[in-house]
Amino acid sequence: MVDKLLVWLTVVLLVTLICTLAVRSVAVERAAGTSARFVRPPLVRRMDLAAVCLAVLLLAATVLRVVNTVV
Amino acid sequence: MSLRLAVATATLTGPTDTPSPVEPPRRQFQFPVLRDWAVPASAGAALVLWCVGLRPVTPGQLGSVGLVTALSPVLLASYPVLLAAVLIELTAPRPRQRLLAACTALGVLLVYGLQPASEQTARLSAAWLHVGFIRYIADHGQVLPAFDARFSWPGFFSLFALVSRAAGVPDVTPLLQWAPTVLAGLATLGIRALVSNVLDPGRTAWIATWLFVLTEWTEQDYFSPQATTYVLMLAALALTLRYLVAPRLAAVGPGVLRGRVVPSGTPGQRLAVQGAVLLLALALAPSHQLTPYVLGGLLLIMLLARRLWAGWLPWLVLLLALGWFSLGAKDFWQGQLQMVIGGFGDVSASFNQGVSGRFVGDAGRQLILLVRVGLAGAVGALALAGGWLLRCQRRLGWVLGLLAAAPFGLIALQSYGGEVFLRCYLFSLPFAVILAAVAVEALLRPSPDAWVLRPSPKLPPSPRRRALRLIPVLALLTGLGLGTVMARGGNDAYTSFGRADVAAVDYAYQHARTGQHIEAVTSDVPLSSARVGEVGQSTLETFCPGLVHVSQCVLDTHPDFLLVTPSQENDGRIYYDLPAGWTSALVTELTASGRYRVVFDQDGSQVLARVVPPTPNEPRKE
Repeated sequence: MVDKLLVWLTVVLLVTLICTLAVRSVAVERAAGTSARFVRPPLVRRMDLAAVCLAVLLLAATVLRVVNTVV
Repeated sequence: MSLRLAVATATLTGPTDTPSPVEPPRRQFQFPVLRDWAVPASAGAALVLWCVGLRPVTPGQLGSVGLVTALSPVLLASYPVLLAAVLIELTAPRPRQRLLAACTALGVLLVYGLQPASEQTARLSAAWLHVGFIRYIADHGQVLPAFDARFSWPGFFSLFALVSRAAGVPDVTPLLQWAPTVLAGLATLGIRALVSNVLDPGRTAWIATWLFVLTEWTEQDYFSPQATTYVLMLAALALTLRYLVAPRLAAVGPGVLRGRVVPSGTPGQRLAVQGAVLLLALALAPSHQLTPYVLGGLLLIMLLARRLWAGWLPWLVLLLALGWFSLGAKDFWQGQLQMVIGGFGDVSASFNQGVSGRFVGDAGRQLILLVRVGLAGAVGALALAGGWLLRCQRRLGWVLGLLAAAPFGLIALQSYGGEVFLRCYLFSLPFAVILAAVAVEALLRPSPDAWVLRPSPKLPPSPRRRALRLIPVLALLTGLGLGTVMARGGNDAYTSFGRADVAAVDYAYQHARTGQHIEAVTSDVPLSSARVGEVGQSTLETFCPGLVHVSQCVLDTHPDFLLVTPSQENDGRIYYDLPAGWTSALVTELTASGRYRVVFDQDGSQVLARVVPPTPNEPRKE
């Protein structure tokens, strides 16, 4: 039961992370396209923060799944 | 001042594509018409020599040095002839790109097509095992749980199972024989694309491509997940370097940039490439154990050097790989997590298994191993020299050096079953050949001053001196090429198979009932290519250390069918120092015991079938 939950959690976090980064990339390219330099608008900053949080959670879910199965 | 500007411009545009600013163009080449015809004629002559020199080879004809002893001098002469043609074209004022591309394709055929063209059937038992995995997935629609670690990364097998079912061809064996040529050709294409986005697509880029063709001796290009994922990794790197890296890795400038530079190309192109690299990472994660981590690591180095535009890309590649490890590879790590993470930081174990542990066998085998070490050392030395030259040219060499050295970090993580050094060399090669090419290209320059793009006070040399300068480069490249041919075919006495070996295995498959055991003495048999999970298929090698008292080992394990082939005979002689004819003695002993009889015999490949069923007091030893 716990294993199934962790599997679903990992999948959901991974998909959310990919979607967040896709949106973030579009925002960055839009900003760079108009200014021809690397800029981080507030939306991108917020999405970067969200992506970091998601990545940490994803890593934790991955490790938890392994530990839960082995122990 | 103007001269300095000219030198700086030449440095920016690359040292190879345009004549040096201090070099008058009138003395570049005095016989252009002759050269126009000489190069394609030489390449054609190389192909003719290769075809004329080809002769069929069977494992029984080979000794411990492998394929090279069975090759004719006519065939071996084709390599320097082709390399001479390539070098003449490369030193021309305007090298013809299409001709060089055709010569490179020919080079791939000559180096990587040698074994498929001269041997009767596909080599390497692992390639045949992969066919068995593919057939199992095609038949059952899923992997076999807890059967083999490779089934935990089934991307490659599932893809070919899908293709074979869609095509209505259940047997993918015909793909095996020429797979190394096709996959090495694709990898060469990937290297060319990658190099062209680090350097300019001129002389140095062609030399780098050729160095890859001439030094890839690892034989990881057979029909396997690692070969296909290597090609995918090169594609991801080439796309990244073309659209997402700015400035170029070998550009002039400070080591670390203050701010990130927007790469050339439109935002749409960059987004599309980020999507494509993400797709490639999604394909890599479930297909191979190492490759996605290497790709992630290489992208991370580009990010740390402030060259990578998409900063999230390396993290996502690594997270995808970790995600698959957690979700999809449970069968692998469950129960053996200690084996996976136990090797962290144990460099000496990796070294012992990967280098010193491999120096076993007779003198011929040791010679082949020394050739491999020598080839790796030569590439390393050339790469170091190239890095130093880049530094002298005030170009950014350290990022390339770091990218070439980074794969060797795997040594600290895992011994990878004793193969870690081999994999490190393979993953390092795309960037090592770029640095090495800078050194080789410098040898073709008119004077040592020009190596670092300084104006030379001397007049440019005569055409004769130019031709003389080609000789050491030709000797170097020929040495590398023949070394690779020798190293690649070095194990062929036991890793190649004849048609009779395949027929013997097929015979055993046709006559074995479900649940019975087919066994080979050593692993050098095209076994497990069918009936995976249905019929037990194994080798005695692990059960019978050193193959001492091998007949007793067979009687203890009492397989239903035993395969004895010339490749196994060679393996026993080369690896275990067994006397010539040890397999014949084994067959005689087993038939004399009355428990086995020979049911198949063709060109030295034999199948022995058990005639007396084991008693309940004789449990099978496994």
